Amino acid sequence: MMTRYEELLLMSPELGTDECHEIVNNLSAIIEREGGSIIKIDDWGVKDTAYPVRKFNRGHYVRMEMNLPTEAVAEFERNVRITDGIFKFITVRLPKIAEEA
Amino acid sequence: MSFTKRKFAPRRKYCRFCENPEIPLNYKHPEVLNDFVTDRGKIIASRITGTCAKHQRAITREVKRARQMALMFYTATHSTDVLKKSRI
Repeated sequence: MMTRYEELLLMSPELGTDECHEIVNNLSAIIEREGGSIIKIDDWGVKDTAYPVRKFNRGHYVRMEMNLPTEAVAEFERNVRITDGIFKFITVRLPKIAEEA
Repeated sequence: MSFTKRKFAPRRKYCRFCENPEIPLNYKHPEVLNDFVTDRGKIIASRITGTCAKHQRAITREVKRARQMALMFYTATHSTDVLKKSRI
């Protein structure tokens, strides 16, 4: 059963753009493998964090919006935890938009 | 020694999110949430801000998410700009 999720990732500011893309591509591949699909990925770029995270005062935020079967979320989060470039992440279930007719 | 019971007449408080539903109430817009948080970072009670219970619960949930994602600080003492000032 597919549900819409939103994933906000806080990544290290030292990651170059290519490493960042590599991480996002890895996660997208995992989502596809789990049978989900990506709706949107927007990159907030490097912003100041409200408090130091792992000794960095800035962090690279990436927001991913995706469709994912509910049982695949745990697997997806396990992969996010393994990736060492990601400091913090949050998965949020989005309300189901009215299915287009 | 009689004190007249002054009737405290607060201006009518209203729930901002009921009045104007388009305001984005989620952790991705900390500038909206900052109006409901003291300068020390604590969540302000709904009896002071006048928000209704439904939206107050939503605010609390979103503020806690924003804090987790370092979009808002937990307390001012460890916030980045305070630390910067203390270092100069």
